[in-house]
Amino acid sequence: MSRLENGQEIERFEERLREWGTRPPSLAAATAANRVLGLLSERRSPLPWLRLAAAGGVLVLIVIAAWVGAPRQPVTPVAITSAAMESGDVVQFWLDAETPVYFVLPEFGQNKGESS
Amino acid sequence: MSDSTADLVTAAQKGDLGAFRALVERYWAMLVRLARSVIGEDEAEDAAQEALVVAWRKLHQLTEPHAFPRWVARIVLRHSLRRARRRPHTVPLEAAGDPGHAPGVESRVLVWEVLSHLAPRQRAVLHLTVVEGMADSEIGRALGISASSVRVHRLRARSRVSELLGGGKGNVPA
Repeated sequence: MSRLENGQEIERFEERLREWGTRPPSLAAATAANRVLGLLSERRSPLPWLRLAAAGGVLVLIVIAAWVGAPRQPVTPVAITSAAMESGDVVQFWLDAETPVYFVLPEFGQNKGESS
Repeated sequence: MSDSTADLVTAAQKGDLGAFRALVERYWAMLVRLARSVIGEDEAEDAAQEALVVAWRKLHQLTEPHAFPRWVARIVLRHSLRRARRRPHTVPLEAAGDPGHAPGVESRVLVWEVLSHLAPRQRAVLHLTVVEGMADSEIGRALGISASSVRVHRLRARSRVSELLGGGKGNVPA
């Protein structure tokens, strides 16, 4: 194709480009303006994931507070209800009716001062 | 309220959404035309809307309210160029027939099918030259490049168009 033909071809293309480029948008200006303003208000409000994360954080705090503040089972001091000498070196304590504790006393002087 | 662009911009800078709405309505068609040439028909209106949201956020940076049209056009162009680079797509020319055997440009070749084979910046330069009739220095300012780069982009764009239309390389008028 010669330079002249080529130039004409490009001119014709640019004429079409001018027609194509100057077509009005499919969205009316007023509708577009509404949409843009809608986007602006959307961007201003916190994002949904941010709200979700905030809700999750609050939930975690509530769980921690409940765990820390929950009433504990009171630790009751062991009361020795009775004690009796079983034999010469064994003492029996009763913590309650079913819980005996045996305390074996070492023989007095055993292993003390003895050389091996 | 006065309806001059500068007054609307000044009001919008103070947070008047009504004034910004009036600006959007006034320049919508021009902005969509710009976006369309860079990014194509399907995404042009979305790109223009997104760019207008960016423009609202940056409006306080505009020191000369009367320069709003050029300023917002630059935002739309740059936003469209970024979008085009992220999601490049080319329409196969075969879809419109074989341009090499067609009697002329008026044949079945559609403009976007040719444009989609150009680099986004080449498309923008061609649009600003042909459709908007802007001078090279203005185009350069809008795209953030020098006037001589504008000429290079235009030459390459025309060369590519010629090639796509079947004329081959190197036969392009400047």
